[in-house]
Amino acid sequence: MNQLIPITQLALPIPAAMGDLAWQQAQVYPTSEARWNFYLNQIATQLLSEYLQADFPQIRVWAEPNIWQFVSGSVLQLNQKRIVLLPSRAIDNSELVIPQEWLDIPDWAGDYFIAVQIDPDAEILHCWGYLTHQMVKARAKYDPRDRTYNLDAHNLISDVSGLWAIQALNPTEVTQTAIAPLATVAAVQAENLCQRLATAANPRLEIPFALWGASIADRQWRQQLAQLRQGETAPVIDRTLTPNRLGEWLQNVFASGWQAVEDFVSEDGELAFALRQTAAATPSIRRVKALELADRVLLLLVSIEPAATDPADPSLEDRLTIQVQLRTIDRNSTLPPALTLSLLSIDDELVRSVVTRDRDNAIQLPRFRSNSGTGFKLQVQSGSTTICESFLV
Amino acid sequence: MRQRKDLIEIFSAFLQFESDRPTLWAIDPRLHRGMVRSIAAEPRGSEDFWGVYWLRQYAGHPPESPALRQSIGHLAAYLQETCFWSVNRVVPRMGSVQIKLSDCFQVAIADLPKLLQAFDTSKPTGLKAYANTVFGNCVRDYLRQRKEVDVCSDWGLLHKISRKRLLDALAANNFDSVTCDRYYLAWKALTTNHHSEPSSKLRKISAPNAKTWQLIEQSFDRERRDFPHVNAATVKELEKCLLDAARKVRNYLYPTVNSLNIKKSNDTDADWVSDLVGSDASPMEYLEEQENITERQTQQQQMVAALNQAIANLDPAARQLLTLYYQDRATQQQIAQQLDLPQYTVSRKLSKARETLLKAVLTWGQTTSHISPTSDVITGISALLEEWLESFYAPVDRPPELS
Repeated sequence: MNQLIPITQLALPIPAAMGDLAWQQAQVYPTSEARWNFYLNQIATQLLSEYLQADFPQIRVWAEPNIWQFVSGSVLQLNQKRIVLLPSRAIDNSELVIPQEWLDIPDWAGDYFIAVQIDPDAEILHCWGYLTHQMVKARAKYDPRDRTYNLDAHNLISDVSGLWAIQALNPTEVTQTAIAPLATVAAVQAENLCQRLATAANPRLEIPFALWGASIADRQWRQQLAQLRQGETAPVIDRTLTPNRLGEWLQNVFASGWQAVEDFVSEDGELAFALRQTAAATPSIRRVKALELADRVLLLLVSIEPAATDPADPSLEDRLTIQVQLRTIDRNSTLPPALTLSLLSIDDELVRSVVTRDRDNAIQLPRFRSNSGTGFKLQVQSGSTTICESFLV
Repeated sequence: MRQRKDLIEIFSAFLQFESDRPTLWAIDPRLHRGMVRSIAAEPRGSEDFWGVYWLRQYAGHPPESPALRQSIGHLAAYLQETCFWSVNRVVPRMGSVQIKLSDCFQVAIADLPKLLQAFDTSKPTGLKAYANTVFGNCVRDYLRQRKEVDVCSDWGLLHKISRKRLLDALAANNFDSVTCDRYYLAWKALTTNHHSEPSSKLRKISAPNAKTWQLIEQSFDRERRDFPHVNAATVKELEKCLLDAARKVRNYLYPTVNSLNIKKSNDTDADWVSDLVGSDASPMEYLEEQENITERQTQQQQMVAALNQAIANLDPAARQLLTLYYQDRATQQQIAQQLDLPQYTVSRKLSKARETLLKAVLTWGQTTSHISPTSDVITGISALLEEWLESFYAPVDRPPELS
């Protein structure tokens, strides 16, 4: 199959474990469409960000939870540019459909748009074309019914490697046409809209685009809408439903949000240094996840390594040594006082916990070991916010 | 295949296949007359000149006009060899007996109207290089899809096509707009409500169950509000319409070739003759074009020097890969076996090597002609590079049956 993809385009194999995990995680969403959106976008961001890291270590995933319930598309940030990935399962590559959000919401708008085909059967991701915001505006047909910009395949630049070449040679090329600002939505109106859209079949088409665009760009509003639509019983970010499988980490498969430590290098060299220092020189796997508290973002660092084996006891074969740390996103700030980082058993029994003191900028749990097949949870509690992540060894 | 030399023939003759081999050139009498008249008006024109001339005629006439059809005809004739070699480069890499070269050729040349629409006519001299790339990609797409269509169930197939492909297939069956909308809404309802819980695999996905059908019906009903002319449908009716859509899509990929190489019956001889263009080539135009052609040739020579240097700077492994790929026309799989590398690695290294050359051309353009490396120039430059790589690495002797 690969040989039918020109070498000017990009074809990446999708590891079976990554595909399965994404599909499994997608099952938390109630609708078929949201599941597909999650699955396709998850694979696209994960595979492409990893692939591009080799040439562009500064690349970042613009991680915005919940948007895939409403609209498909995801963003990689490279230098000052936003690269919007538009994954589809269509094999014919005859058109690219771009939701209006990615062109006309000022904070969301992309500089580049990449057409990504994901074939779950052949397990291949194929980037088959790209274009700039300007080109989309000049060449696309706008479909007011679906609020999408549609482009015939011939209107795309089929040499995708051209995009990487330009990022290397001319990363500041002008890409966007002017984007009209969207009016701000008054708090009362926003609240009303949220209630109204809670039960709409397709909220993005329910109200005029200017209103929708302004509202959905607001993270809190979006969070609230997502919660209302899923019902109180199923909180949006109940990560305990889908445990992080540490066995998969050993195979280099990571769920969304778990980034490499190196991702934070350019933002704060000292932080990267501190994170690196944390782990011993042994071949450990370290990943960082940004946790969103009510008023700030903190980093949860988990590092794992296979524990020393004991020839007398083969049952300890797949044991892992695990170290957990929580720290601020930049070195000048401190953790909130009385914040608790806890290790819980899978049945929510408290195993261990640490509490921040005055002016801590990092806390950590003592190293612990866990046997293959057992699970545990990490919980961060600060004020009224509790975030929980569960893990399976 | 005999190379055409005569100008009139180049702009009016079409390649004919026998037993899947190109054998002879058939002259289209109307295009022939058009070309005779044109050459009488401007006898100095070269092949390049007339290529650009017909492209300008194409760009200057409204869609559906006879003059536009005539210019597409001349350009289709002009691009026959380009299309043949481009298709020929892709097809033998397949090593399949079911795939006919002539079918692929027809599929590619039928893409010409869309190709011309997307082509940047302000840089007319890049047409052949651009067409070379587009024809190749078009055939690759076609072959990929044919493979997939053969292994997909009806439901799987519906999940794996774009909206456009569905609408194109329906249009090819001359469906009226109401029926098209009805099919489209049914398809949309299916693809947004149906999936298989245990796996994301689609090829053999089973038919929707009763609960899913209910969701599909509701979704169809909801969407229908925006399409007041579409009547309500029962689950049975929706199922029937979706299975029919799958059949239409499947057949659409095995085209009863509707190509430019077959004359269209609704084009009567009469309306062509009366509107025949081609007698208005002015001396001024000719001189300007000559200047452009000379300038382009000088630029190309400089670019070739830059490229030779860039290839010399590649590491030996990358050079070997390019040779195997472009000269020996080995598939990535064959290269992987020969070099004992995973296919993915081969594909990645090949892409990297070519990207390095693309960067070299972009950098060269920036320093010599002050053309900034922007996305606007990628398509043109990439096509030139591909054309150059193919000729640089071309085997000295083409197989006798093809030359």
